[in-house]
Amino acid sequence: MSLNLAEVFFQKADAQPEHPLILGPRGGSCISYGEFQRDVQSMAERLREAGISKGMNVGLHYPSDQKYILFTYALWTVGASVTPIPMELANEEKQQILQHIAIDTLISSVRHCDVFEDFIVGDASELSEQARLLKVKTQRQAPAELAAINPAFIRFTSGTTGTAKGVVLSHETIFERINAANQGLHIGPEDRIVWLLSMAYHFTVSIVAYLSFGATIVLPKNAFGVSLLRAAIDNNATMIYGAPTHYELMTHDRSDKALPPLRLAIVTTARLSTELAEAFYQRFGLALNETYGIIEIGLPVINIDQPRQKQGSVGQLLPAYSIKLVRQENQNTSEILLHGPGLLDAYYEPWMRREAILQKHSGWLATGDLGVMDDAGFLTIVGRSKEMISVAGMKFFPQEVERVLERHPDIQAACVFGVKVPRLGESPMAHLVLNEGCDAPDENALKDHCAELLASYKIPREFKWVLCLERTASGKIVRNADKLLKTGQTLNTANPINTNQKLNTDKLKTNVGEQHDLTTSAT
Amino acid sequence: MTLQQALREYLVKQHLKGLLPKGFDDDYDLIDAGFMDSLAIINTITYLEKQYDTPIEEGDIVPENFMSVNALCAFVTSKQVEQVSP
Repeated sequence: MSLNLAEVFFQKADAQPEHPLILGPRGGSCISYGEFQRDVQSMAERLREAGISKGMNVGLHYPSDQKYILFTYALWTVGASVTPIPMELANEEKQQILQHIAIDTLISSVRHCDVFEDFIVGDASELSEQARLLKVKTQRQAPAELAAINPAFIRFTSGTTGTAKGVVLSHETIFERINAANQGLHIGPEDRIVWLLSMAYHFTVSIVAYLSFGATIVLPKNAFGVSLLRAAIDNNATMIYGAPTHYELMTHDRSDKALPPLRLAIVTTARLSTELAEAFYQRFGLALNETYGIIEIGLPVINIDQPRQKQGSVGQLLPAYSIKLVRQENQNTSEILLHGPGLLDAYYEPWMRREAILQKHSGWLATGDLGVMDDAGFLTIVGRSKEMISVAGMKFFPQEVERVLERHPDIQAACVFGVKVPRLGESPMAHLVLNEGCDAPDENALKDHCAELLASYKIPREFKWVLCLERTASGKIVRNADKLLKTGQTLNTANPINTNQKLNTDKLKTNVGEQHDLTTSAT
Repeated sequence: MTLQQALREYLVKQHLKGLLPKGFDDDYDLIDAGFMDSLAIINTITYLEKQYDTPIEEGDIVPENFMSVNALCAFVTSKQVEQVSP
């Protein structure tokens, strides 16, 4: 009989019905394991009555709160799988998910149902005051082998080509990866974990682990430093799970609030700067635990033992995993290859099972990340072999933004690259080639064009007009910020190009990379 | 365009993605409605610093300054006054 993560939670709830599961976000609010189990079963019954059944895939478009966990577990209870549709995406990006992944039904926040207007068939049914169940026209067939996998999540991920890939994670795979991670994290009923991340990107080696191992989730009232600290203090937190931006906001707090003695302060999604690690330590006397997580494998590396002494390292490999560093051809860097439990079950589009993915590298998962390891086994990430941009931990490929820019009628070609900035880590910047005979649109017009089609963190902060894009000898677009910021004939938007200047009139195509590169740090 | 209009336009375009929630006005609580996540806070700080040449200090990053169009407007105005007469 196949595993179901909802059953794993129910067993835990039977064992500790009175134990608090979720504290907050309002002061004093608490829901126990037993109460939440009843809520999940009741919601599952409503979903069954509405026609949701085993084998269906449901898009979940809802803010990260208690209800998000409730809907996910209720869907699993009836045997459906879940495709998260992140709230922060632009409407077109959300609709793209429906086109690339076979979705039968949606659960959406009432406030944002309009996004799916063109896809909805029939009347919406009410699941709660804030949530609606929407039947949608399925845009494509699910891969034939999908059902046999026992899928829990089908996560949409964009690739270098700007097209979808989708990562399929089964109940068994998620269970394997949370158990592997817990050999290092040791999460148990005594833990109270302050949760700060988007559940659309982070759910498996976090929320599922907490519900499976009997821990308590603490939800803060909002993301301001003072509220995060208050949530940790008022609820006697033992752990925080957040991105560098959250720790930065806590560090900015000017009150004299001290954190409780945390067991772990996990940093995920983006690289932690030395400055922030030090500032946090000076303010709270706590060292932050860096991690290395990727959606394809989970959380195989955590800096648990020496976060202060080995600041900058993501830590040592957890016992269940193996690592191999493979020197890149003609380079002084090595790519990280991993093997272990909880590897993804398949890529969705084009369909590729785990065995075929691993076969490419003799049984190893090639991460696309570059790393070095010291004699004590501490891994440090030194870069990526793929050109990914990370804005406060929200990752995307530059090609996705370039495609949107090239849809503008005045733009012939675009090159997008990440520039280092304070607070956000990186920010996208664009070099643009004007179409012949056109006047350069101003920055606001370009930002408006992007805002219609992209999530706000993907919109370039600066645009520069150039006569042609920088390319390597083999014709590949150069996206190296250090080089591009120093060189090139740049013309800013306040000084539009004279269209009599000679322009490269060949419609430039963005570089089409390999389909199966890795994407986000969501685990 | 007044400061208030400019800030409203920025918030609606950047953080509300052009979709005005029911009952939206300049006192609408953006934090309570879930529009001010950590990324939105950092982006707003960055925008204010660039657009209004206003250095945001650590003690400024509190909910009271970011909760609505009116709150942001009052905050930016106070920072501008501070800069003129330190």
